[in-house]
Amino acid sequence: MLIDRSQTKLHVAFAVPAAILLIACTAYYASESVDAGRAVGGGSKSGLLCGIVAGAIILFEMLLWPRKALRRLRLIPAKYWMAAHLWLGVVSLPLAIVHCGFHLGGWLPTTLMVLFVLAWISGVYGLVVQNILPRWMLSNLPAETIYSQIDYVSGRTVDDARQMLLAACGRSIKQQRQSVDEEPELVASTAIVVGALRQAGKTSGRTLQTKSVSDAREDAEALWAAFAEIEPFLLSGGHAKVPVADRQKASQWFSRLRSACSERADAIIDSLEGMCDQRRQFDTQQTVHRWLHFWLPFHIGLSVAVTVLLGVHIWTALKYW
Amino acid sequence: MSAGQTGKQRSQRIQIDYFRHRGGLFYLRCGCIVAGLVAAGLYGALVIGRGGGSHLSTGPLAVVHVSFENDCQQCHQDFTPLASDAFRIDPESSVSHTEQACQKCHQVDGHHRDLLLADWKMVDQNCAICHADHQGRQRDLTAVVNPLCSQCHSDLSKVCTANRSPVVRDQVSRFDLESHGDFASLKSDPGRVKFDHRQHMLPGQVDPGSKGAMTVSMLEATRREQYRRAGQGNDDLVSLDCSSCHQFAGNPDAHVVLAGDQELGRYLKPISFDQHCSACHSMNPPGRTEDTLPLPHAAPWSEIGLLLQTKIAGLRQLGTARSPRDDTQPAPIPGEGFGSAANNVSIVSAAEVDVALKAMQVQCLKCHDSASITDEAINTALAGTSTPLIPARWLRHGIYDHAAHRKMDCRYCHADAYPNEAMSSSPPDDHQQVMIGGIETCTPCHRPADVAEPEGLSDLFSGQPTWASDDCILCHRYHTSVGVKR
Repeated sequence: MLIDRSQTKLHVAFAVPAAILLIACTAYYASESVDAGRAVGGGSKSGLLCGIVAGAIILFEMLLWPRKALRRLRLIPAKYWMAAHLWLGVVSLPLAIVHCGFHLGGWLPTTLMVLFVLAWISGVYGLVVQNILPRWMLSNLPAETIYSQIDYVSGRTVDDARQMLLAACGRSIKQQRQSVDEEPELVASTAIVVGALRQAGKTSGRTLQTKSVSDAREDAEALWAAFAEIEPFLLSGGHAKVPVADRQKASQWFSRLRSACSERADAIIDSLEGMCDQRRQFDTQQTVHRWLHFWLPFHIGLSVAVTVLLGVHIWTALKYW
Repeated sequence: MSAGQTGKQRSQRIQIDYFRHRGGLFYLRCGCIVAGLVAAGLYGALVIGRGGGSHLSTGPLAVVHVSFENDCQQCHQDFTPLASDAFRIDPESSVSHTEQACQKCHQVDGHHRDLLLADWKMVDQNCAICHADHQGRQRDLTAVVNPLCSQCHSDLSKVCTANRSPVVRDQVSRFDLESHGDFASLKSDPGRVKFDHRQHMLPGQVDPGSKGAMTVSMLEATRREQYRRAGQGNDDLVSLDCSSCHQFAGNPDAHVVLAGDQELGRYLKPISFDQHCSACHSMNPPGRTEDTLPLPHAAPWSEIGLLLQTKIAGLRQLGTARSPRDDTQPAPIPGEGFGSAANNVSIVSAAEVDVALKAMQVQCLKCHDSASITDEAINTALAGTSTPLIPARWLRHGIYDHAAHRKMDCRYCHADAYPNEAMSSSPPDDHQQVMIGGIETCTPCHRPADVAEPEGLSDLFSGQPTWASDDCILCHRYHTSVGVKR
């Protein structure tokens, strides 16, 4: 969930009550502790209050799960759920620590607290990366696509490149020797559709463009050979050990290719270089995507464990009060 | 892709149902949820199934309770709060359970419970308020912090009924003259033995240059080594110091027994005539020789009379004493001859015994007043039912540990017991004067940790730091033994 000026009212509406709740409970606890001359435990009135509030918040946080499962019912807009989840979750940890009386206790409360801290940290991590990485991706990864479609889009890009070379150069000698039946249908054309960078204001993005293709038959062998070399990279990204996987080496590699080909092949080479750049961005996107989303399964798993152990803790704490 | 492709073909650059495909993230999420559920569920089942122990304990028990570390039911009762600060729905039964759990082993009485208001009776009853366990192995459960005491003593009027003791201040919040006040027990000297500390601290127990100084040879033969200093001969003067008469002991007061109050060194042994006085002041009958046994101290007069009678008769038999009408001479006196012996030397008349008793009483009255040497007073003293002539404990509401202060010079607290010019010509009045310093002798060291050391204390412990705790429990005990009234 983004925290920026456009969301100020929404966040203030939840952050302020959450802060007041935390301050009030902590002040009550501090007052009781000062009177007792020590940090009172979780069974005291104030400690118990902090524990009940923290426990209720944890249960409320878990309601996000059924809310998502039942999203068709449209139970309050998701942004309110998320803002409440965020700010109440933030204050729940200090409340739980106060409830503990600042010591961990036995294995169960220790395990519960450690898992809770991990869940809290993972949530805060998620909040931070969701506020930083998407903005960074928007400005640094114009070729970004849907994460799950990276391999599919990469495949289509390879098809585009093959079509472009066919249109510009025709078949290579090697391809001519092979059976035509093994090759996909190739349609000779003077225009092709390729992805190109477009900018609108501060935002740039990859769009499809129709470009005319000049005849580069004299460089057919060189271009097809270059394509054969970069094709594994276009399909599987950084896993392929090719020079174009690295931005700097790719620039040198394509410079050498341009110098080996005639000027009429420059447009083709530019397109191939653009495709490699897109694939590198896909690789970066994959890495960033993992940073951006892989905390969530752990956050959920930890939260589930915390909720189960919270139930055990409540039962046993009341029994052995 | 040719330029002539349709819009539908172009849209197929992205799989139109891509969102239906579940990637690794989905399966990772499912795995984490299942792992969280299974792991936490199994652990929870294990904890509940095993009945707690270290899994539930809020902290290790103190070392004295470690034997039931895993036996929660020794103290805890299901759904009955035990913790000192626990919120209770049924406080009376809950607190009562706590007290019963502790009293299984620790049988001590409460703290003026009969004077407390109802709510505070439960505070007194709730052992865990002051002795909270589960705070770690090394936790000293008897280390009670001052705020726990001051929660009542900062204003006793809110805690006690109107029948509370007037001796105890209503508002005490810290250890200083203003809040705590001076020691009430030291306001007057209840002692009834005339004793001159100053004189006894002088060499030979006489003023310098005076005759009659006590030498080692003048002591009882069997007690000379007790008082002989290193290198002293029999003609040297007897020199006493505090330890000559005062030795460390536990609480000597049989009437008030505070918990943990009988450790060696907390008090000094009661002064005993036989142990501390008789070497110089033995009760000698008339005609005493080296072999004569002294008379018993604090014996009824009838017994003393009988002993005097037999001693006089014995002395007459030995020829070292004469009968009243015995005028026999070893050599004849001209005109009188050898004289005539009494008819019955074994009979000692009552009048003779009375004369001897009066001579003995003169010795007694040197240290005692006449009321203390009556038969009745002696018998009640022997029965242990009378007030001691010298108080066994001077600080009756608190504990003073002489052993803990042994590095200090005794005169820091007992300056008046030492010779000084102001006292040189005064009659002995030790039995009317308390020779123990007041709270002002304690507070320079027993001060809050953040208060700087006062001037002039640096020599008290040979330059060592002088700070000492100002905890209430250092001097006061909350509990008494069962059935003992303060």
